[in-house]
Amino acid sequence: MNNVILIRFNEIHLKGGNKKYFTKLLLNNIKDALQGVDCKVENIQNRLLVRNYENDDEIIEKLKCVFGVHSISRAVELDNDEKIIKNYVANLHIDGSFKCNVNRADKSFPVKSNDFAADLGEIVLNNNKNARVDIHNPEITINVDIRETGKTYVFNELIYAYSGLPLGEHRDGLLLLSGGIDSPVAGFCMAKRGLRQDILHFDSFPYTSKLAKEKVITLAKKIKTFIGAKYMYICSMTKLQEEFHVNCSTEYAINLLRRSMIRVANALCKKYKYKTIVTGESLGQVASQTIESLTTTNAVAEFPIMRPLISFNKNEIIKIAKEIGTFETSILPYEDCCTVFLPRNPVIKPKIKDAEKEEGKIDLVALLSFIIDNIEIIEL
Amino acid sequence: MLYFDNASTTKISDAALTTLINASEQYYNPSALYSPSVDVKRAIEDARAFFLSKFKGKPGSTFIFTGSATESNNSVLFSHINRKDKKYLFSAGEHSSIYESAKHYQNEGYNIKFIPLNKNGGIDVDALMKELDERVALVSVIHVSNETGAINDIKTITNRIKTFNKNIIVHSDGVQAVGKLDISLKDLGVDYYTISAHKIHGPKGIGALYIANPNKFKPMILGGGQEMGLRSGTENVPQILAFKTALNGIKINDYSKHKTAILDNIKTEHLLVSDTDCIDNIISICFKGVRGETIEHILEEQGFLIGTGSACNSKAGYNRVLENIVPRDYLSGAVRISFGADVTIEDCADLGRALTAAVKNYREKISR
Repeated sequence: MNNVILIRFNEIHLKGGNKKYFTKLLLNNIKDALQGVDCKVENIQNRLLVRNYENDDEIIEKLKCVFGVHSISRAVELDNDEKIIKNYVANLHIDGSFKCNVNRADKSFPVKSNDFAADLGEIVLNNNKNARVDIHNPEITINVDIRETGKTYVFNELIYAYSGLPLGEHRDGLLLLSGGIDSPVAGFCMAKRGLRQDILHFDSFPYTSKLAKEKVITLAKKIKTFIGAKYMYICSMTKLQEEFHVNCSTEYAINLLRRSMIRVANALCKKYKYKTIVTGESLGQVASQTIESLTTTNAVAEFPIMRPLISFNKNEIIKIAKEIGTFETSILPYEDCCTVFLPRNPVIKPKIKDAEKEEGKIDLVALLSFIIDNIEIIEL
Repeated sequence: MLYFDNASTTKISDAALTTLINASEQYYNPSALYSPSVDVKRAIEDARAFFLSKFKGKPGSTFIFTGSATESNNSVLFSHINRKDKKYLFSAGEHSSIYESAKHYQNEGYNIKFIPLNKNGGIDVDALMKELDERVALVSVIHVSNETGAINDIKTITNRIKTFNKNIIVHSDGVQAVGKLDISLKDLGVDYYTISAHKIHGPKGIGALYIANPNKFKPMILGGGQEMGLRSGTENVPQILAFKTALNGIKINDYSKHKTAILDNIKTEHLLVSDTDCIDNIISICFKGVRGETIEHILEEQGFLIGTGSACNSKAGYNRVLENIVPRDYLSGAVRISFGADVTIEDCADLGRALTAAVKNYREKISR
């Protein structure tokens, strides 16, 4: 009899011919997440298993952050032997309502699922005077999972993780991280769909402080476990913002800035082979997130822009930010690059043509090339 | 890099650093009975005597060494705020270690009053006197404002308070006054006086509290009974001795020419908070239409390290002290310049010129 941690996945089951690939990916991601923790991870037909560990709480906390994991259980591993299983169940102390669930993947096991569940239920009742059966709403569920591998797993609790798909091998996404509440959540949401991402942050030193930059680095470190980030790019927009401010319509300031951000992201995507840009925009949240503003921004994008929060309300975003532990850092009071040159009346329905006209007033190509050449790269 | 942020902290002096290192080797616990420990204990007592003599403490008074000036300040409030029928007065310009502590007691239901400030950040003495009544048990007034350099006349204030009722406890936070003013605690007449090492070229993590009447003090930290039972915890011998070395090394310099050199070279519209009733080496100055934080960063790139007078940030709120004395449109453009003997008059003139250029440049770029 061994204590093990059982890991289940769900969406991977639907992957047909690619199931093997995704399972291997998940196994590798789990091994990465458990690096430095004393344990062994195994693939056992449709389940993954952790054994030979000391601290199960630590392992479970880490597993909960691995996308593709559906649920986790602390279990006991027994041989597929009727007598051994019954003997184990006979020694359980059950106080209150319970039911037994049997899953017989090993069809060579002699007793059918329902019959075996009834047998085990009877054993529990005979050995625990305070136990009573409740198949609809039991306090305790004794799950008995009889696998084709010759091993049976008995467990009670089911700890749910985020599900989704395992993070891909390559860092295909570039997350635009501002320091606010939304963008870390956007990165998290895309990671849940298997998108591994690096991070791009825009900074306006000396108009924003060094502490503001430190805050974003802290945020990046907080979400790196989730999104699988390795590099963070920090791009100073100061020169560009000053030029926009002096030469272009102040109403268009934010719009022009955002178009330039996408252009910087384009350049990084081309150079480092990212396939998509991720932002934390939510429709209508602020002037720069109206359909017209998003359209003017999209017009310069050379890669698809993923906006996972587009339909989210602020409260929904905050809820996730709190859950993933970024909220407290996000609300630290430092200005970000958008707030310094913020116009009093930003244009709500910008036009691509007008934005282009404004950009024509400065030497955008030279300025972009300057700021891209001066990007700072941090290894997270 | 020229350092103009001495009100925030100072560079440890070579002598204090040497003491710190050498004394660290004398690791013996001062409470033990063997002779190396007795030597260490004696060194602490010599330091205590030196502090009392340097600051001219009254007979029967003592100094206790603490972990910081914040601890010293907190422990005075802890010792004396204990009755809800009493009244406790604080200048609105107290350092946050007094202000936040007082706010805590206010939230607990104690009668805490903050006394308004003059335009230079000093306490409005008349307003303070008006608040005095038979319920007042404690008054705390910072000696020199850490924000503006304003000098409060602690001797007169204490005298007037004690004339009204000699039982009122008077505390003063002297962290910014040490090294700038000649201090005689006997003359000031205070019951408590807080000082710190790292503002006078000593190490961080060590402060002290002057206690005029030790039998009236209720200790905040209990334990092994060190520091005459007034502050438990094994004594931080190396830091105490380095504090003594730092104190021994201070010279009260005339910085008026430095101040003039800075101000004469500020040739753009501004509001000077630090007037002639302030010490010369803390200058609080505000510029309309700029952000102090940005000016600080621009100057850093030119080799000057200065402090911001305000968080100048809509989310963080404005500087608590300046908010009460500076018009709103100047608040976000507040900077604090504080210097020591390591800068020359010419450095100060350079800073004034750089500051002028930075502010003008900012206004041209941003104010549209």
